[in-house]
Amino acid sequence: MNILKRPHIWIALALLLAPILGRMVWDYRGLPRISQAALPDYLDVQRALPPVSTPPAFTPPGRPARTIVVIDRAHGNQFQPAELQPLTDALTARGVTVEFLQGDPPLDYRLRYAGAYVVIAPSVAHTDAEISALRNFVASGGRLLVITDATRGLLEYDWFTGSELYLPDVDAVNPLLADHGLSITNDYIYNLTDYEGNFRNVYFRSFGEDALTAGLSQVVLYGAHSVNAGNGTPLLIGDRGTLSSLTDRGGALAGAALSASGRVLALGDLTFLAMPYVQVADNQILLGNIADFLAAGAREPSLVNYPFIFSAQEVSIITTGEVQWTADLLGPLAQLQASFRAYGFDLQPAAEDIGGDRILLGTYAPSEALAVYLQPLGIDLEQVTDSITLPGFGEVGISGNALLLYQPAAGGTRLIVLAETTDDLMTVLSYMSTSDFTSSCLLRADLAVCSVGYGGSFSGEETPVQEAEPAATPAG
Amino acid sequence: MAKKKLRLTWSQARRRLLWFGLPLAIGILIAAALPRPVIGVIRLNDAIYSFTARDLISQIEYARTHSRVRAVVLVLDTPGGTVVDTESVYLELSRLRAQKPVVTSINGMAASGGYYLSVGTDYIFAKPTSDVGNIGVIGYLPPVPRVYEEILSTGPYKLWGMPRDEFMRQIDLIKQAFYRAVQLGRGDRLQVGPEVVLTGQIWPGSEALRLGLIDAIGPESQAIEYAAQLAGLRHYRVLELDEVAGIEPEIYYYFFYRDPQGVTLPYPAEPGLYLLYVPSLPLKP
Repeated sequence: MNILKRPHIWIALALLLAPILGRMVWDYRGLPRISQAALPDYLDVQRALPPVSTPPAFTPPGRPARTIVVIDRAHGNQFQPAELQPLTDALTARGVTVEFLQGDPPLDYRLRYAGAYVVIAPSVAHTDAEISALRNFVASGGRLLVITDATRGLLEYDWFTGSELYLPDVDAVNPLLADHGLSITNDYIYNLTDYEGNFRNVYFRSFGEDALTAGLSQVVLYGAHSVNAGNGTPLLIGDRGTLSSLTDRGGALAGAALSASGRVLALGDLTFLAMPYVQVADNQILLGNIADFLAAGAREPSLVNYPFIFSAQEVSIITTGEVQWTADLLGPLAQLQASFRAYGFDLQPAAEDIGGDRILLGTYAPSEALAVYLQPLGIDLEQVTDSITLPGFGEVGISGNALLLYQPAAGGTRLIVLAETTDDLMTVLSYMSTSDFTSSCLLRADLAVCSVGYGGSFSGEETPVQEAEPAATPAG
Repeated sequence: MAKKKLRLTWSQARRRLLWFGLPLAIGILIAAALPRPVIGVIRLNDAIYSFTARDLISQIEYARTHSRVRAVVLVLDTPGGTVVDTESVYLELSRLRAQKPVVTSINGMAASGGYYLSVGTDYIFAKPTSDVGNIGVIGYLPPVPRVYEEILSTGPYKLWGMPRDEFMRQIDLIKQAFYRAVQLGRGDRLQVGPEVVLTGQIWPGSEALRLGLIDAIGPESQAIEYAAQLAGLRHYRVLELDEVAGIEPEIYYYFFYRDPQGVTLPYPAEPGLYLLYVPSLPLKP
């Protein structure tokens, strides 16, 4: 008999399974929902490599710039000179001499001969006097480059309270830039979708019109402040996705800007000028353009910048008229020669005026040698009596006053020094040995009137002495 | 007509017991012996580093290999941790999730690596003020390479690991992988794009819900109920998996840096790459 046909087999089976099924119904309400978990394709994630450029072809200029660029290291600057090597190499290739300002001589002295001044991430502000000197420096044609960097602030730790204070570099540079319509924001710019290796390394593909942006198609700045151009020209302009950390908003943020005068350049980043970042994109081209900007710094000639008023290293000194190299004059001449040597000039007496950079010594007595230079200035020594008429200046008494006339020219700079007597010439030559003697003169760009004596000659002639009347002998 | 008396003989009764009572009894015994389905709970109340990752993986492995564990709830209160340990746990979770539902319940924080783990689960609960997000990577740049007189190596990066520029790009690589995990895990539920997600911001749970970073605001019990729902369970037992997974005794390990005064700072003690939330203020006793 087929066991399966026995009904009690099935009943038994049902009774066996019923509690189990009941338990399952009790515990379970349905089938589990298993999701198809997808893993990221880790091998598909690529790391972006930087767009490396080849250095632009550079042809050394036929005529070196002969500019001196002074780089500030006297204001707690947060950089290492080695970081500037690409920039200093580019400057040197253009015939520029690079100096670092660190201690003496002070800034105002160096600005007399510098063509450009570079300030990088300072932590100490320039003084009011320094800012004033820089204002005049730029106004007379000097170039100013201010570089900040969002990663170069100074972290100060207060050991007493345990708090940390972050001093951004922008606090020290904005007073410098205020006179020129520029400022730098205490932020950093970033882009979360279009960047070079990290969100804070931002591409710039839009540029303001200027020689500084010539040849650029894309530039990368690494952790940069945003620069406010004011009435100047924004040079590196970020796209819509480039945002400021201060606001998390964009709006054509600039990484560099040029002042309206075209003489002050502000950069929000230092890193892009250093190796290896200078080799990315067109950063090398921008570096070259910046070097050209600095090398072109040339201030208008002015007696204010004495003794750095000569363009050549060799300067001759010539006597005119009745002035001779007497023993009295040779001492001050030697002193002047020594001081000029310290300034980098080679001062040598010459028998006659043969051109080049020279100092011409003379008195107010008429002189054919000087007439050819003074007549175009409207000065006629034939008309000199007790005073001399200086066009644009007025009548100046000749007694005790020396006159310095500065005439820069392509064929050689002339400095004509006139005084009433040889004694006064001795005195003015001694004064000229000090670099700041013009501070005691009435000064113009082309003219200085300096008080050098009491008038007349105090050697040779005796000073008249009035003898006293003998006292009456008391009656004895 | 006389009534028929229904009388079972002992033999008949025994036969009925054998065929009906015994199977029923056996069925009842089997039903009673069946293990109640379990919702396994795995807790992480620490940073993610080698030891905590090892413990997590042990529990995940237990859940995956024991059929009575029908779903898992991952309870998180973590600032994240090392990249490799986070990825290890994430990959183990993905294997588990291929077999059983996994639900996340965020307590205080699921930041960075903690959030990385949560996007590898089916559903994310958080409290209104749970800290969620901080999507990104941090790392300490290696020093600028140099040479020493007394230390010789056989390659320029033997001492430093890699160029600094390469380190920066590897961080970005990890970030991209993290973001892809978020995109895959959240799918259409994610309401914002990379310009928001990749800011590295940390959001409260309520805001994270609006952004699509999590699925619901709710307590741990709700997460357990939801896990049961996904597993198709009506009645179940909740089991702390660290009690059964054979976790080794805790080894005292300083993941965070302690300064000479004994103050614990929220920075990792060891250099490396991290999916970690570092708050701005140092912890002070």
